[in-house]
Amino acid sequence: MSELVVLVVEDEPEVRDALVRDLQPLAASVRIEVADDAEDAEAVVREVAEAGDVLGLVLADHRLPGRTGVDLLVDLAEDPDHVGVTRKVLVTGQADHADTIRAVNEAGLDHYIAKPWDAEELRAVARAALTDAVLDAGLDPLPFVADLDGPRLLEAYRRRASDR
Amino acid sequence: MTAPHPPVRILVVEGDGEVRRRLVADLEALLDERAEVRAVATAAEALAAAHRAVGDGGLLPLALIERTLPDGSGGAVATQLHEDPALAPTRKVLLTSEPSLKDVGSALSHGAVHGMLHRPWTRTGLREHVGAHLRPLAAQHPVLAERFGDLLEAAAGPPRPADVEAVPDDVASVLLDPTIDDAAIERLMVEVLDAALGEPPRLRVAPGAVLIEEGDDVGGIYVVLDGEVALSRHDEGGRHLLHSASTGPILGLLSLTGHKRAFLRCEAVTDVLVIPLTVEQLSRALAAEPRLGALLTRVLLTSLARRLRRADELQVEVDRLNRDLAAERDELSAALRSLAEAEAQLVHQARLATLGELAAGVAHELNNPAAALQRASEHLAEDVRTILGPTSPVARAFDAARTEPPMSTADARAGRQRLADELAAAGVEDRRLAGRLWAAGLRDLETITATLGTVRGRVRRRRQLPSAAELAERLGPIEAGARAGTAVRGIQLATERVLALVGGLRAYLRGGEADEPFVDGVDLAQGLDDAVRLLGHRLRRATIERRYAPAPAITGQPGALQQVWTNLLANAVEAGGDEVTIELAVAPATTPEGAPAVRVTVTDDGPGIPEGLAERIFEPRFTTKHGQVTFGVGLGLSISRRIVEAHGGTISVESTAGRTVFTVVLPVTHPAEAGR
Repeated sequence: MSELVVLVVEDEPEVRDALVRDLQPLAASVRIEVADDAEDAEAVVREVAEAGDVLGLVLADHRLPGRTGVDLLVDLAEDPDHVGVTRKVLVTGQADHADTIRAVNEAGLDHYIAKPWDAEELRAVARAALTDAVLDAGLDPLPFVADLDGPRLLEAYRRRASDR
Repeated sequence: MTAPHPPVRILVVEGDGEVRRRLVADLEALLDERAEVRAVATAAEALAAAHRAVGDGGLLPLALIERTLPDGSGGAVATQLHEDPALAPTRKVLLTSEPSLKDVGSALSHGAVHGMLHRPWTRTGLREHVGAHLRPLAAQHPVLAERFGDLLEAAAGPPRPADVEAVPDDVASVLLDPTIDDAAIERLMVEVLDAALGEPPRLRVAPGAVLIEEGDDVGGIYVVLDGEVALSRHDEGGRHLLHSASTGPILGLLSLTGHKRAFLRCEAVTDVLVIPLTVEQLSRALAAEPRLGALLTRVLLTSLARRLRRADELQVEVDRLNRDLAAERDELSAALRSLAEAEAQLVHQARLATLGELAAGVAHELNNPAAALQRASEHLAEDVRTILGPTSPVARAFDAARTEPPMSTADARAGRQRLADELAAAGVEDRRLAGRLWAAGLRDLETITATLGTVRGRVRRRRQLPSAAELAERLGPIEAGARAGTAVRGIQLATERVLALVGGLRAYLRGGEADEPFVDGVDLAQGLDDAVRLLGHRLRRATIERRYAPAPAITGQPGALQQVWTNLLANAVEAGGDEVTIELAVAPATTPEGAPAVRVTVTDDGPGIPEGLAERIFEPRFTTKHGQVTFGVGLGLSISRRIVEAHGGTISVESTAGRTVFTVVLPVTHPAEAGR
């Protein structure tokens, strides 16, 4: 059975740990992967695709060693394996206006979270994005009802059942 | 009052009662009963009064006529008198406060006006005027000479030349004879003119009188007998004085060439005596007196040559002024440029200074809470370990997570995969569970079994790997311990970063090691080698080339300089990568002031500094790389600059792709110490 994956791209270990910790309530149904730069993130993206899993959400810092988070998201938006499913969120304290505009226009940025982030907001954004991804990827909604947006997933489940 | 016989009378025609009374009083004082002064107030009365003055065989040598009478112009009165044969010889002088001769032009050109008396007059001026006008009549009327000898003498005018006779009759030959004095030629010309025209009337004007106004129609010329006349021209830039000493004796030259409109303004600078001549008068004189042509030509040639010379001088002057002006303009624009640069630099420095103060404040304010956080995280760690007990698996997970060395996300993922494979081989196939075990610090089967295993057998208490469900159930507390450890480590790392930033800022603001004493005998090559040793781990794969020329030891702060070399080397590795080639050179040099110095260069073959960044590279900036605060490009270089400047030296950078050279020049003796 394919798993739903959220990828956290952040180069500073303590910040990365804190993000992962704040996403733990979703961990029962979602696998959390981490990467410390854009290159490693792409390795994760490949592994996820090879394993037949679904990359539901990328949470990326903008300022990374080497290529930026916006570069990563723009490339990801052009990757045919993930178009239409993977949601993209910038979690950053350092992106300027131009970077953000580029992320919105070229990467189809779904959300922008400023640092320091609020854990509830982070989870709410992640839940909404992952729920979208589940529905777009055509995954069975039931395993995600408890951790993601339950009512929406259940409604989708009922509609699908009645379609059959 | 009865005048002696024959009665001599002077007529005053003046509308203003007060002026009239004063003029009459001044004249009477001057004439002292030698002549009778008669006065009327209007133009209408003037002619009859003049007739009465000569009716009984009396003489009327002079009429002073106000230029603007209540019932007509003084010029018209003068013309009226002039046209009466009995009154023609009378000298008519206009009384005026107006410098321009414009509206009396017609009277002047008819020879009806002989002079202008400026109001307010002075007694001396009046005396000269009266004398000057009586004098031409004295030849005809000896009685005037007898009676007014003193006045005539005072107004002798230009002396009658004795050398006029020296000019040969064959005047054509004088034309080009340089031995004949110009003044003599002029005097001869006037004499010949006088003879031809029956001594045309003289006109006397005061300083400021405008004889010819620029742009006016000119119907004749003025022959200047005495005084100075300035020629000037007006344009949007104001009035330009063209000739004064170079004016020459003929005004209105252009009217002789057919141009009627005056090109220049002719204005009296001093009291001026002129003969106004119409073109017709001049033609008549030329016809009557053949010598006049040659004389006039010579006079004109001389004055034209003088004016031309002056014009040439003016042109030369204009050229010189233009050159001076251009040079001045260049200097000015250079000054302006450097001013703008200086201003930009000042603004920049002011901004940096403000930022510096702000940074100092922030550093200070951050230091205390960061220190408190650091202590608190250690206390928290100690207390958590006490609560968990010394040997519990949860305590071990806590410690392991807290002290775990940094691992790249890729390595962690590979390890996790390995663990998942091992577990699968042992019959537990659950990737997510493998991930949780890994995160809890349980990273191999042996540890997992030892920590979470089920005890089998009573005697030999052997443990074996539990099922996935059992593992998931027992893992909870250990996971929590590991997370707590991770959180504490996060607090510690974050705090260290803040403290490192604060420390770096403080070092920068202090200007390196400000407290370190300056010592003699600092060997810079030695310092470079020490820095290479200190950075050994980072330079392992770099190639270091040394070019050390014998150079004097300097007076400096060895520790602070160490920091400079370390920063430059670290910067080279950062820019050029691990396998960079760095050339270190030391050579004797001199400061811009000429003092002995030592030059140190650090050259790397990295990609170079992007254009436009080179001048900003010494500004304080922070960069973070892989979660580490680095002071490579930014704070390190700005600290280096402070240290170098504290030594009285300079640091600069030149960069092209593949070659970046940092040059540090340090004086052997600190400039501030040199005098001691």
